Amino acid sequence: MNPYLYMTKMKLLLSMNYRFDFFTKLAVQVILLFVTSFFWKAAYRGIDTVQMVNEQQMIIYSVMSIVLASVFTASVESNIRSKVRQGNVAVDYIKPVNVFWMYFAEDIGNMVTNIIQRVAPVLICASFFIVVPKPVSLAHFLLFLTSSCFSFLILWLISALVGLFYFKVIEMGPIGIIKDYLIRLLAGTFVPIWFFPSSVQTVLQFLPFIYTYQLPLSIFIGRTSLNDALWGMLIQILWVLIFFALFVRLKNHVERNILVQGG
Amino acid sequence: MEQKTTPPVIKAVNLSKEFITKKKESGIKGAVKNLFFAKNTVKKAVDGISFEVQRGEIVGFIGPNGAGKSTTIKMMCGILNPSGGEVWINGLSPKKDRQVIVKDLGVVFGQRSQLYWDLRLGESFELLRRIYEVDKAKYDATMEDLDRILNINDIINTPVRQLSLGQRMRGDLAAAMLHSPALLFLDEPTIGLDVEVKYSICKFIKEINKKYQTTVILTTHDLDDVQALCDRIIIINDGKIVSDSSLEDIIDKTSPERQLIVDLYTDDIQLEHPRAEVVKIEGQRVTLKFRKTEISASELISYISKQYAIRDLSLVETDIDDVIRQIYKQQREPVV
Ligand SMILES: Nc1ncnc2c1ncn2[C@@H]1O[C@H](COP(=O)(O)OP(=O)(O)OP(=O)(O)O)[C@@H](O)[C@H]1O
Ligand SMILES: [Mg+2]
Repeated sequence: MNPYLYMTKMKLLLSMNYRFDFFTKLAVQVILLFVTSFFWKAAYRGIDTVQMVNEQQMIIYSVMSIVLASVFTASVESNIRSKVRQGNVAVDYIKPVNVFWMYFAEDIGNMVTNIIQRVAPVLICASFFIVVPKPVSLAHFLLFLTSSCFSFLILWLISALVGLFYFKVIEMGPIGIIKDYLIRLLAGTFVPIWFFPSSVQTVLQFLPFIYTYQLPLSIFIGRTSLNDALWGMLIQILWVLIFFALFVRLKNHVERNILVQGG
Repeated sequence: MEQKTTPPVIKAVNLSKEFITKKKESGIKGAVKNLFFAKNTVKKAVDGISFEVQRGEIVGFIGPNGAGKSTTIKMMCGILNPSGGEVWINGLSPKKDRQVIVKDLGVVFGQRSQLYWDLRLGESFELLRRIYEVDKAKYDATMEDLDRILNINDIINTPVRQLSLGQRMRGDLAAAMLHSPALLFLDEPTIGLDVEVKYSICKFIKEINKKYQTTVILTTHDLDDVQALCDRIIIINDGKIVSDSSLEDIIDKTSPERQLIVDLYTDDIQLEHPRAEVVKIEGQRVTLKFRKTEISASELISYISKQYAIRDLSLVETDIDDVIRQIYKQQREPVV
């Protein structure tokens, strides 16, 4: 078996072992599920549709947003951060592998674990107590899946880019966490961007964030037409290419001057 | 292929590494100052070293803390790029061909582990087997060998985080040897290990060196290991090579004197010899200092026994720790 695939498998088996982690994270998600659905029920009281989206669609949007957030993990950043701090990057680089493919394989393993462990419980819980998150059509659903893959690539590359910065600065304090929440906010995970002032919306059109969460989610609920979905995915691909180019440049720079801490 | 021009396994020419660090001032005022005018300080960790290592050699890299040993090793495996000079491993530059070189290289950093913390030891081995593309039959044969010397099978099913330091080190050594590399870098492989494990690791290194002609570069602060293993010793101090020779040569050059302690039956001792020096006389005990090159111990003993009856005697060889300490002290004055 290919070493990268084996890494994915190992990560998968490994994270299956963390029971405690599993239950606490699940609990957080279920709470989030109820809180957001109550929030939208309250917000929509007496209102039929806002910005072409009705209450039902909006609640499905937030359920699926929680599902996506629980699937997407990019541990590259924290991985590199702890390795740089402890000087353990060295042991990754003494192996004849592409180190970042290895990190990517690890994250794929984590993601498969999340799909197996976390998606089903959240979906079941939502279907019983809140709403059955049904896509508008099969075509929309398939586009949603494809678009989500691109979303993951964008998020992973952003995470890897930030991770590469740790080679340079070693310590960035809380910037990492702030960045995560900022991305989530600007990506429309909590409140979709169409509720923002139109000037903000225009600016966000030109930034990558809404192409991580909002695009696949609004495809799922049918707010984005199939045609627009394809256009959106084209922009996603563009962002993937831009971030990939940046990533390769920064990675080459860092590898040329790798900073290994201590002896 | 003719053997006439086998290139050296390692060739370093004028290899240097400078670390640039920002000098930081403490306190709040300092922190603000650091933001704008952090001063760069340059630290020459490795300062123009040159050497060659041939296939099958076991070379000990020794030197005081911070001498630049680990930095040199890191440059040789391509994890750090030299800031000056160059190094070639089998004719290839680690800077350009890291992935190729590393395929036939085993590295152990004593203070770090390449094993996966949460997994069984065997799981890490399985991953490495795939990374190095070792086929199953070869892998099994190697594992059998490794088990015989390092008792790997006792710990193969234990999660790495539950291993003791010595067990983990055995695991790390096995991990570095799994693909039978032709070149082995061991950076303090015996740090914190008990005598038993240390002995088995030394035995292991010797065995693979003999069996497969593995070239080994070893850094350690344990001179017993060096004495047991290394044909050749490179002493580094302050980023420079201060000595490159065999251990005997070093002893002969820096501290060629041995001591002979003789217990006699009398305390009325009048002893003199043109090629030995009487250091002290204490009751019935005489201590003499002499050079191996000038007089042999037996010659000296028979000279004494002609004058006095000898009750007991002992020969004190130079303490290598002393010798090395002496070399560390004479910084930058090459011992040639
Ligand atoms: N990443 C780094 N940044 C700045 N300086 C460094 C870095 N790594 C090492 N140094 C400095 O380079 C010098 C050589 O370090 P090195 O780790 O090679 O020493 P060593 O010979 O391995 O010592 P020891 O026996 O303690 O392991 C030291 O003075 C150290 O402080
Ligand atoms: Mg060191």
